[in-house]
Amino acid sequence: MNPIRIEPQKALDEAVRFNQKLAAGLKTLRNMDEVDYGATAKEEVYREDKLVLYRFRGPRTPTAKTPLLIAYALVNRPYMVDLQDDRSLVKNLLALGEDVYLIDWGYPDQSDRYLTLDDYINGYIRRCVDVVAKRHNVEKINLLGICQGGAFSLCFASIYPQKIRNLIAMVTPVDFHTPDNMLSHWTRGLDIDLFVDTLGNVPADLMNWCYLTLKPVRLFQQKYIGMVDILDDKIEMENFLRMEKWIFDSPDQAGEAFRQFIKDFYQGNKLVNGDLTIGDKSVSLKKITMPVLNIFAEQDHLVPPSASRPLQGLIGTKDYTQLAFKGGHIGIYVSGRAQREVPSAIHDWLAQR
Amino acid sequence: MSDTKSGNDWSSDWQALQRQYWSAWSDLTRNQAGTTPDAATPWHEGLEQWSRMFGSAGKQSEAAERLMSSAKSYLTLMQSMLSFAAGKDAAAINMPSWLDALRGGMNVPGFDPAAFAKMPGFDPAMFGNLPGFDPAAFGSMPGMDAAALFNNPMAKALREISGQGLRSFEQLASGAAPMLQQMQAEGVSWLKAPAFGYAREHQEHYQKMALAFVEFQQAVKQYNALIMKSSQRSFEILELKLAERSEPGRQIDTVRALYDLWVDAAEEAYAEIALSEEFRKVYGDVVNAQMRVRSQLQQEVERIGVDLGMPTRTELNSVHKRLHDLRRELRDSQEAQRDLGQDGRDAEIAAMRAEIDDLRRLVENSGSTSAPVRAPVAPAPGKAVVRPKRASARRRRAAAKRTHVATKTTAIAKPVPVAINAVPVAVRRVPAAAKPMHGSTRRPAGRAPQVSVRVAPSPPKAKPEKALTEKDLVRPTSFGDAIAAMRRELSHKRGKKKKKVKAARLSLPYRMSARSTRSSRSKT
Repeated sequence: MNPIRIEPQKALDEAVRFNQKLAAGLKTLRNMDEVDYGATAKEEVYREDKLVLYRFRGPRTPTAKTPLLIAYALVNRPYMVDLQDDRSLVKNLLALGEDVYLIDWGYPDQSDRYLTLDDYINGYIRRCVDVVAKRHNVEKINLLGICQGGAFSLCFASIYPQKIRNLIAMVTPVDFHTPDNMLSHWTRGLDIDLFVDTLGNVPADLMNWCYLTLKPVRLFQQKYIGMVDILDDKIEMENFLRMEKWIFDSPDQAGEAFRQFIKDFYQGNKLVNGDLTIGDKSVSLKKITMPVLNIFAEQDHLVPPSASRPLQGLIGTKDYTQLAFKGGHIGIYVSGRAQREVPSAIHDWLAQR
Repeated sequence: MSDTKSGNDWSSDWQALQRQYWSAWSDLTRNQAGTTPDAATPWHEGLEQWSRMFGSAGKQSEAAERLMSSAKSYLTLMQSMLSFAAGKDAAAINMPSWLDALRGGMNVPGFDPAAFAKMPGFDPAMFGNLPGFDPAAFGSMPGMDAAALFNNPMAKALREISGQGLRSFEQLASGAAPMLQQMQAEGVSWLKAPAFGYAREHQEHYQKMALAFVEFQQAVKQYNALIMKSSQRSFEILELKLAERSEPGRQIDTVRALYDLWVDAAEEAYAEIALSEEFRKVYGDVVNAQMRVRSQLQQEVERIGVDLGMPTRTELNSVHKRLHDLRRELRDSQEAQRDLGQDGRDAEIAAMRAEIDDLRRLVENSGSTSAPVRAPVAPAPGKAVVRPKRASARRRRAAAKRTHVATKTTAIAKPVPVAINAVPVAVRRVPAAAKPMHGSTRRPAGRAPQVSVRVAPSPPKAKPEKALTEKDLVRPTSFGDAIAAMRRELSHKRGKKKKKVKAARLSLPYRMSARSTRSSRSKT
């Protein structure tokens, strides 16, 4: 039997509907306000160079005794964790009684080209951790690292285990050489020294384009065909545009830090091989002896689950918990399922420790 | 509509519906854009109208632009399929025909040959005379022509990035156009000819730049070939996926469902290629080759900048780097100072100093003939000494405890250098060649003894052969060592009254002069 059975009338109806949506979109898009983002009130508690450390303020006083610091990736803006009122990891954590801090790395410019991973991990993160700990008069805090920020958090927890009580790694790459890791596969053919020496800071547009080419047809084309379906819905279009803004509102990457990250993590896979040093401090995942919660997304095309799962066998802790989320790299923060499952999983896990 | 309609019926229905659609679309757009679209190309024209309305509408225009590029492709598919189906009975359409329609309608994103023509100074035709640059060869590649050479997603991304000191690859290419024209005129052999004479450096630079361009284009050609391979493979996979949907209930009955299935197939095919070793190499070659081109062009821009007296990116980078280095040094220094104050080390040092003073006094008052170790104000033997203020008992106990720990630590670890200012004794470097003194062996006058710093838990008992003076001291490796040494010395002197001990060299961080050795011997 013929697998395609498209009746012309039906196809034409489809085309008409498609164009009706487009026409309706004229009105919707022209009447839309500038999309805003960030649902939760926050206060600045520390600033250094372009970095700002924020503390979020929820409607209730936090009940958690140990504050939670979120270290986001350098490659995107951290407001993904607090995108909008009904899609906010931060808001949900606050509602559960957590005391949440967030590092905003800012937008590096050419004057930041020589920032290294040592500056980021032994410098910025360490000082932020110290600031939070001092504010709460505790020796250890909880650290939640996301994506590249998760890799940084692993390094930090290995170097400064005395400062971290519980470590949460979200969509964090650990083993960069798994066969399904397309991004890593590509970077291994790059002459990264030539790349950084030539470009200086790595332009955000180039980074974004690289991510889009991981799934070119879906991300360049199909996604926008799908957008037509919601063109007549102002709220849905706001959500869509907000997400678009986040995806393409990316900072340039400080050249030296990028060079080190590609060399040591993507090309050298040193988190697994064990010969990683950040500045003059060696990193061994075996030194991570505090409780660890590893959350990854099963449909993640940027950090495949196979890249996150090996953490269990590499760290020194006996208190390891793993959560496989049914979704993608971004859905883990903004999907409806994520709102229900992720914050409560984090809170419950922390509460038991 | 039913499957029993004739082909003519379908055709008339199709035309009527298309007129109806276009009429509705015109009404919608006329009011809002103030223009009347051309009904000759209804499907695309509608989109063009739509796009024009967002020509200067800020963020919405960006969304509209992205939508446009995607929707055009989708509508092309839709139109081609509808046109194909319009004169046929739905049941009579076979799968290969549908696939042909799909092939005509779909392209890999970013493969827009027309866009390449806009690239200034980058006319592929100019490479016609260069070995390895035969435009006809591109044209013979399935689904490709020379103009499409640089119109894959990768090339587009690389082309449009803003590099340091330079805005975009188009501008780079534009700047290099004269050089490329020269290449065209003289052929690639020119690139490898040795340069000499007054302008040899410039010539060599231009040759490298041109060669980099050639390599880049060869890399892009290989990349495009792989993308095309992926595109072809996507239809093979689509056929397999369609075959799985032959059963009733699983058939594709909308254009959108067919499109989504094609997307799945295309991504699957792309992933197969993109995860191959071949792709990794080609991908790396494209990026690396373009970086070499950019690098060469940057050097040229810098040279011009220097000629014009303009600051260059290299100079700025140098300043930035020095600034970062300085900041790191400053911050490390500040943090080290702060840590010293914060972790109580200052207090510990003060307590240790007090204890050293106490120990010195004990040595002085022990009745030993050894010269007093205390340096600054050595009291005359037998005279009353005004003691400096002693540390409190509590601080002394705390210091003793710490000292104990420090001594033990020294036994298992390498000695930690102590800041010179923190040690109230003379510091002198000792030549490594100096030998230790044994028995009657005398050291030549003025020759410094070797300092032997032992880290063993139980250093051999030592017997100073001469009284020590401040001048004879060398720097201890730590406070712990110094204090432990004094204790041992004191203990040794007390024990000496009861029994004679064979002279042995004090294996501690002391320096013993010939004078002190003589003095000590004369008393034994």
